[in-house]
Amino acid sequence: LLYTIKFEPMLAPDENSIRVRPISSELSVLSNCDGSARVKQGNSSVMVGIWGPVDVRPAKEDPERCVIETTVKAATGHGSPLDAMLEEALKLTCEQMVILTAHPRTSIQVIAHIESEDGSVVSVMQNALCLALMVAGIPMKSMFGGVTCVELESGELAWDPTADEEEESIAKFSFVYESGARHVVHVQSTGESTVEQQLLILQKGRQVVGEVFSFYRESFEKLLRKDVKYQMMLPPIIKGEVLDSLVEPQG
Amino acid sequence: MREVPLSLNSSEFLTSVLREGLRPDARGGYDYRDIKITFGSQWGHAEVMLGNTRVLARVSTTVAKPAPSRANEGALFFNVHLSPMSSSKFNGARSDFSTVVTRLLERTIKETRVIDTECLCIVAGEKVLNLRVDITLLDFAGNVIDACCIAAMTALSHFRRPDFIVNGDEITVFSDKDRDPIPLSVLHVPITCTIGFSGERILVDPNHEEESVMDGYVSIATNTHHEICYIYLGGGVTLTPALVSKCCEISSLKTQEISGQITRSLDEDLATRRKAGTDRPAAISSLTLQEKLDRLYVEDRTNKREMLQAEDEVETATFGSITIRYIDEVDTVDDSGVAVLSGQPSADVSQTITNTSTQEEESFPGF
Repeated sequence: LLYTIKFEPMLAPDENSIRVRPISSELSVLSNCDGSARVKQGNSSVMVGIWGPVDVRPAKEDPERCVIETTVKAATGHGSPLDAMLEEALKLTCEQMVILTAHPRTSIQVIAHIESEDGSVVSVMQNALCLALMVAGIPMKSMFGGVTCVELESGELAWDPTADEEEESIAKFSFVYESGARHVVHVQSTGESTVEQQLLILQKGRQVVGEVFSFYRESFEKLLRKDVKYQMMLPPIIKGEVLDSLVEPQG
Repeated sequence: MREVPLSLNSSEFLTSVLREGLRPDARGGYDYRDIKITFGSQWGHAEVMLGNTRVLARVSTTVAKPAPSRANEGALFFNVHLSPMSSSKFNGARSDFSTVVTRLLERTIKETRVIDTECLCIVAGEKVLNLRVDITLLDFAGNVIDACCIAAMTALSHFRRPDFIVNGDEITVFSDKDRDPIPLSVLHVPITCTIGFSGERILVDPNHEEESVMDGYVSIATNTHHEICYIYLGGGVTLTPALVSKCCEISSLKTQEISGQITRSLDEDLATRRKAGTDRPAAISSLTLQEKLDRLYVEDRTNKREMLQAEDEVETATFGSITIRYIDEVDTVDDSGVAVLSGQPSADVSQTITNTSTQEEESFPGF
């Protein structure tokens, strides 16, 4: 099943208007694994595939909870320590957000492929991970979404930066928020910045991540439009024609 | 994670069906599944779907010292990764099958000299551009070999390498923003065709069910000049020479179709990029305002009049072989489109009006 959605983001009516690149997703893209999602933000594209819950070697299994195994592969070139960092980031997010005790003695395998890199790959990957986990039907405490922000030399903030903006930046922050109270689940930062600036970005990020969550909702509504069980659950929409047919024929 | 094998019932049913000459997805014995080719935003990023089998290919370059035995050639390196997300069969480590596919691609593409690697030489013996093709299997539904080969050839045909200059001892490799990258010179296009065998029956492009019950397969790489580039026998069957000949002919036919499809999709992608202005960003950004307006003029003739009226200072528009000056009086326009001027041209008008020899151009708007 392939559903591609193009989302034109609204600018937040703020003094520093926040520009986020158009985001699109394809859910349930792969035919073999349990859950898969591909998310594109601008020219950055990440594909995440999830197998889970599946069996795990006895040496690795945990009698009380599910074990998360993550693999991240970059677009080009040999593997690098950066991949290991990203794997760790995905694993930490999963361990926070997935209800691990629901599936003891099993493992969930997360495989992420960076198809093309054009900035804010970390948050694109986290978004794809959340969508893939939902498609795979793995129980989670809530949804989660990632945003990246860079601070440029002029002191300006650039949200959802491209690779060029990331190169020119002096500091880069990636926050992952959970969708309830929008608490921070994961932080990744590089560069030099002040504490005040970081807190400001953290607060503003809560607004920006709202765009991501409403996009998740749209993606899933489109995916479920073809699902018969879901359609039957919806309240019936009374249209003009339906009302007419309920009226008894005259004479 | 263990692979779930096909049940006895399923495999027996499939084998009997295949031996009768039917295929579970109602294809003919010589039919390929649908091939879809899409490109990413960067040059050399191609994704190919052969039915449900999905392969991603990325081409990249690095500057390195060449091997001493090939001092004036760039190297071509293939890396095939069968991702665990594609199937529970693959656990991410290098398996026999991934080695088979990598070796097949090397033999088909590198050893038959598809890419002119001498163009990649910067300074002989010192610096060359090494090409690296990273192929990732994202989804497995049978016939990985063909999908990987189509993806690799498409990505290499799509890729553009960085431009470089050698000034004595100084080497400058330009980024894509400074100078437009240059396409590789692809000398021929070999495409593999995998043919499975079940009893007496031929199954071209076997899907994953057919692969699990077939006796064996052969992969034959041919190019559009009807030359055989590589034959790989996958084991399990012995073939008569007549059968090998027949398979080579099938492969040749399929190569014509598939390479035609690759060319069409490359042209479509280039047209999309031209429209968006992303095909030659460095060249476009270095144009002056005059030249940018000229490009718009040639591409959008219907809006030309309004645009030039808005830009009063633009008196001339030039693009390639079209040079037009706007003058007040023109007597006639003869057959080839050359305007005959009546009186003495004014001091500003120094060139006659010429026309490119396209048949669509009937009259110049504005006259």
